[in-house]
Amino acid sequence: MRILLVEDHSQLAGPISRELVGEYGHEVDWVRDPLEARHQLQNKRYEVAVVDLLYEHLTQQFDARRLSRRVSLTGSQMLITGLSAVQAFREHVTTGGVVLWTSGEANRRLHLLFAYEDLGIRAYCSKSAGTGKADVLNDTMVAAANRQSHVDPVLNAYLPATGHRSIGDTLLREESKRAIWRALSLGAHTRAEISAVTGYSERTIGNLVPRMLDDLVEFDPGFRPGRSPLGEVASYASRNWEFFLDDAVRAIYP
Amino acid sequence: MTLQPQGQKDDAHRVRVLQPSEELERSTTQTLVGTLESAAVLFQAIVLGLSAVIDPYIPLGRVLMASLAIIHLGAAYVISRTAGPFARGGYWVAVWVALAFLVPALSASMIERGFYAINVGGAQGVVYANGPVLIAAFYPWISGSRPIIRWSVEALLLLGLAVEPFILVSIFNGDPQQVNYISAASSVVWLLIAYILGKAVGRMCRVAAQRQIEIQQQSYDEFFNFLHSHVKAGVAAVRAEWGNDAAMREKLSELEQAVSDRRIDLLLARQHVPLAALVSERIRAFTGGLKITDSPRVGAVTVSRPVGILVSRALGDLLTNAARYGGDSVAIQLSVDTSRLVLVVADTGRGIDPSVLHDESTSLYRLRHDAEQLGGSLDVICEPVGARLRLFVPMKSTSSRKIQHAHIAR
Repeated sequence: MRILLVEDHSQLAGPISRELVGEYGHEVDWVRDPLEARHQLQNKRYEVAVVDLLYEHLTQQFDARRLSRRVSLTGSQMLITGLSAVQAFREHVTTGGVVLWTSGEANRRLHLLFAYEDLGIRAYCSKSAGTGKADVLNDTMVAAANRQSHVDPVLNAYLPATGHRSIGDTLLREESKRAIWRALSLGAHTRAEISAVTGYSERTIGNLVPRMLDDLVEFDPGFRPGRSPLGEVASYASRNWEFFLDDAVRAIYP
Repeated sequence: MTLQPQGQKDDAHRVRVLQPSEELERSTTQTLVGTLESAAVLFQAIVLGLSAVIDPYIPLGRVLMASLAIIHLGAAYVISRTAGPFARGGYWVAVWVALAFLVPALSASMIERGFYAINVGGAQGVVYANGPVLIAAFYPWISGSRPIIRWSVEALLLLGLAVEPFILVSIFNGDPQQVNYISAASSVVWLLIAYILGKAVGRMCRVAAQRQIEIQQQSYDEFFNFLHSHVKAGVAAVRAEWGNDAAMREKLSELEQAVSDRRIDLLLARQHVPLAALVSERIRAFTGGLKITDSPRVGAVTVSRPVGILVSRALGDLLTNAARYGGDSVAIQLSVDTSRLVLVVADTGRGIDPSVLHDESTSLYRLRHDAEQLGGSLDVICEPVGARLRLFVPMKSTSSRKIQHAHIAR
């Protein structure tokens, strides 16, 4: 199989690539991030993409822009994550499969849900799966290429339970609320600051924030909100800013 | 399934956690505005001193007011060196509040007949009460978990202090005039200003306390990400490159376990613990030794810290025992909704006697005890083959502080 491996840790990508080539006979191209993946996909067709979720150098660059308030909701490019690589792959390859290859982290859990619910990805492999060799990854790639589901038990917990309200039906349902989530993720924590970022009036924001907290409780039944709706949603947004400011999420939910 | 003997390593937390508790709010308040109590007593000393000089007291009253001013001056100094009535708590608060009523009454009784409350800016000595009112408005002197009691006590205090000047006017002025009532009303306005100022200070302290938690959490998150980006990815890389050597694999597993333990600690330091990450970390630790035939999907669900601690311990204990003494495969089921969390762990081992849940020397006893502290339960379900344990926790717990304290103390 022709494999595109999108992974920023060279010390991990190197040996895994060699093993996939040497022991399983695949043809593997390794790129450091989704930006390089986009370029690579224009030149070559692949059957499977193995994609990491977050890329340290891209996250750090974007975070520096975010903290210095140089990010706007509509203009500049948002955070590039593995979800962008998935979208690029889907644009160029209609029959191939995608494997999300991640350790699974608290700050990646919304990405994993989104990948399952909105991008339809059904192949997930943990970086430390099984013996740590490429055998489990290879099995997952084969499943993805055949459009079959293959989920590592370590990552299964991140996927939605039956009957779960999807992220698109709750947190991302309305454009106005999405704008506020993103403004909060950019560090706007008062109504005036959110208003300046989103363009909505402070009164509108005051009306929407309690409903956003309701959405959050609907999305996460275990969530126990405190006294201040704005404080709660701001805290949630700042904890999950990598998701709310994800460029691929914005592409689907502008 | 067999049990961990008592004294075996428990997943005691090595991460110090700031919780948004009354204790944190109290300590933040003391740090930020600890000197306000001595300033409030100094304010009272100045009020009494000025009153002794300016107001028309009978001779004994002037001496008494001056003496009280000097005593308050000394008290302000002592408090600045030690702690004020609210910081000390208990009877000290009651004494200060009682003085807020008594001193204005004493002052009114010592004023020459007909001269009480003749200034439209306020009655003599009444602003004395503003100091304790300001402190009482923001200090967490009544548990935040009983807001109705707190609001009731504050309302009673304000009402009493607001009515007092009117009563004093009617007692000591004989035939009160409009100016006397205006003076008494002005005193109430000053009282309300002090109360509102106190509430603003309280809000400032709460924001500061919350900010401390956020900063600590950010610091944990950064460390968590470091563990992911560098340590864990590095371990995975070494395993991929040189994992063929058995000794190397064993050392890598130990290192990976140490990293995983610390990541769990950091997860449990959060107010809202992401359940998926917790379950994932626990399952990851056993993927080499156990066949996980069924693992739960929980998505983005979070649980409160006490519930997270309990689930983490339950998974750790039950999977450890299954790996050591149970069969080769384990099925884990976990369901969460707004009212309850149910965790079921089933293995194919040699089964378990339900009486162990009552044996104090076992980890299952402690687990059951902690579950009950949260209003939940731990049950053994008899199976033809293996053991099945069911942990139930209500999601709206009223005694969550108990398990936090119990667990930290352990």
